Amino acid sequence: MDSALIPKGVKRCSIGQFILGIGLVGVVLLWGVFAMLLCWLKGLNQTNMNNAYGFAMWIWADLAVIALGGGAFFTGFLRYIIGKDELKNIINYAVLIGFICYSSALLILAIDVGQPLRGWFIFWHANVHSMLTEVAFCITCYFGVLCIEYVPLVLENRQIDKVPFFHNLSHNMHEIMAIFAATGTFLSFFHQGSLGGVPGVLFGRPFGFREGVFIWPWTFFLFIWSAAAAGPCFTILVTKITEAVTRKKLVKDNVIELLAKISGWMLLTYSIAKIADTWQWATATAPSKGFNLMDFYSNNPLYGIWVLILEIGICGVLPAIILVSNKGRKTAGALWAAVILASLGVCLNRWVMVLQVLAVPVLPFTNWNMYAPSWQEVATTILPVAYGVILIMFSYRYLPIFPQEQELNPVEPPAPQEQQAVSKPETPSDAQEAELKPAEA
Amino acid sequence: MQFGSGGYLPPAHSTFGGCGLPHCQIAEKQKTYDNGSKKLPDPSIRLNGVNWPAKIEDDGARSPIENRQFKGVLMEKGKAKKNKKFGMVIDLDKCTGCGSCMVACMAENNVSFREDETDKLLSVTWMRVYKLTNGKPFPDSEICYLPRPCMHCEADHGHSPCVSVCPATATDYDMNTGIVSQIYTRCFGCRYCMAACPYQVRVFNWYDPVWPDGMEKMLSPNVSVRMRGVVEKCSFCFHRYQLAKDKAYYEGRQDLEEDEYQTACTQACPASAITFGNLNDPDHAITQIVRPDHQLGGRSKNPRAFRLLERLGANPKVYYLSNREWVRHSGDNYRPDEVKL
Amino acid sequence: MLPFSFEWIWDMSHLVFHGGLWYALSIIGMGITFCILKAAYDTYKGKGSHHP
Repeated sequence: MDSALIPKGVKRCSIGQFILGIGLVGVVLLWGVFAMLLCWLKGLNQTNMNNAYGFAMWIWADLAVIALGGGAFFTGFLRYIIGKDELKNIINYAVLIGFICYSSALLILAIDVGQPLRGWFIFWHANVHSMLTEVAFCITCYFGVLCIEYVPLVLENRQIDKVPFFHNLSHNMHEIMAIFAATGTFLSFFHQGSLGGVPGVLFGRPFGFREGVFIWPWTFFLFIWSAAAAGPCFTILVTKITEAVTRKKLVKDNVIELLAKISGWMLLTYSIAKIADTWQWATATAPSKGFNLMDFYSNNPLYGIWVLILEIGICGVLPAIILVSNKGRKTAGALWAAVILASLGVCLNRWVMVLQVLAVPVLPFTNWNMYAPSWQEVATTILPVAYGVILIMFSYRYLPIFPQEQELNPVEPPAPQEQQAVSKPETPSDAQEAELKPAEA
Repeated sequence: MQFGSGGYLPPAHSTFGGCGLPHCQIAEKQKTYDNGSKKLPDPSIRLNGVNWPAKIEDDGARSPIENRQFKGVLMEKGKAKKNKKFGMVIDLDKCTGCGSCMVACMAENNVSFREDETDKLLSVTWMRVYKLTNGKPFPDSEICYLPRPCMHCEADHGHSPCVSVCPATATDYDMNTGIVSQIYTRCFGCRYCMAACPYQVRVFNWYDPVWPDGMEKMLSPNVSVRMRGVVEKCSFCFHRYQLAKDKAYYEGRQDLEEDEYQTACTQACPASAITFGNLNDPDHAITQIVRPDHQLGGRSKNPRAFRLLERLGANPKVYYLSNREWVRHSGDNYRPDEVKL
Repeated sequence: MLPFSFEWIWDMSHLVFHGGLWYALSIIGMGITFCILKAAYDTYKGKGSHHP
């Protein structure tokens, strides 16, 4: 039914199966939309946030998806600026994942503010000294860049590509993509860093506060670093999940291994920097405010020292060691474990830097603030996941996301009358000729 | 525009609750002058497109840009004068924990409430009274009540924990009065300021403000009612300062007497535990009690005095007094090796 | 955000922040405008019209 929209030379499931899948995820999406409408119409009393917990699950989700979406800017940086050409085979998917992550972050932010209709004040009445202002500007601009990077993919759909203007537009956008990628990298450095600055500048919150350089606390740099390290891991993870679901190999091992290797070194250096930062904070910064390290990890039902060990050791150093070793990267199970741990680690780091910052009592006569999200918060956080799955399903089905898919999964010889149109070309010039034949006919 | 026995009452549309835009404030001032008053401002000074009254030396009702412009006027006329720095000192040995300050604050500032106020973390409370204990068993147990308004932190050059983080400039440190303002109509409810404030003085309007039937008629016309989805906090009853300034101006005076501007909680305290005034005026009682060392961020020279969380460096302008060491010790965090009790 | 909004101050903070912002926006804006105009020109010249 929709075969005219499916890229040539690849096989997709039946339309019925596809609609069923969309329907199942759509139910989850609708649940999230319902919760979102409740929050908008009835206000933030639908959440379990309170005056002690002004930032909670949504801000964590924002920080986490932006870190996980960091694969887009860092892969783009490696591909277009550093010149790692092999990564062209995964950059499309990295861009798509980044697009989903950043659009999700913007959606969650729109739900999270008390007066969503005044959201534009952050731009119009901008306080340039606020880290959140920098975050808002850079995320919005970078989302624009991601749209620009995603649009050519959409334009490459078989039917859209037939329109000469769209074909030319897609071609031209590809031509100058390095400029957009460089701009995206510039913006990403700042908003990833500013997100780190959000807790880092809170000198009233000794758990989050860090010293730094000039106006930037150390968390500014650590957030950039961790996003650049864990973002590509998440790209690999989603690629692997997609391969498992579609039961196809979509990206060649050398591409995955290259990205994993770079990611591993980033993660290893990040872990060393994070350990140094934690040491400085635990032995100098926090004591100067009257706190010992264990004050932050005791006398409460949840946050023990295990959080720190899990975040830095198990989800930082361990996956880094796996990814930097050749054997680790080539062993499927180890690679899976490493990318899962790295993704979890960055999410845990963001959780700690948002929720534990507020949980720790600062006034000596107050207690720990504990928090559990309401179902509306959970549903609105799952909403972007469902939206992301749907967008991936559509993009995978109708757009040439994986350039190596055709080569890795040759389609069985078609019926004789179709053979000429769908036969796999040998060289790029042959491919162009093959593409041109129907038009000539 | 209202005139009562107390003189000119400005409308609720003020810096606190008004849009905060200079044109609004200037328009309000000009309306006042146009109202038949003989004390018309001297229009001879014109700077940055604004007519500034030449005789006014200090007026807190200005936005940041106006502050800078106004300073320029003062410098030009050679009349630069030390800014005011309003603060508060609370004698905890006098406080009985009666809660009058909380009630007075709520009534004065149109603070909303709900039928079910059992969850205090959802309550809107500008002034909150904490109960402290020394943790010792009977007969050595002692308690202390600690009223906590907004600390109006000064940190470095007004770099209060909350002011610098607000992304929409909805909160500001007024260099002329030392008061941290909140512009409700510009706040869009991101709550970053709440996360930044270590004193938990900032509260969010989780619900629509609803008053029982008829009670809305008792609301003060001088203070804007806040809407759902914005942050609010203690303003040191800034509208009272505006009223007092307007009255003084109407009567041809430049400066306020100490008792002309007092907060509602100060006046309501039956034990006279709260003293409010200008920390930069040596004649004010607060300055004589606190004896602030401005070289050290306002740290008190009075051995009975302390500030909450002094080590964080926020330099709050609310001081506490107590003869009891454990009470003074309760104001900050100390590592075990620092404890001398 | 713009020099005529009253929060705007001609100081280093504003110049650095908004300088960076407008620099990035300009590149994005000019880049996308260039792509659209060139695509329109190319289409006018018949480029890509033979494409299936």
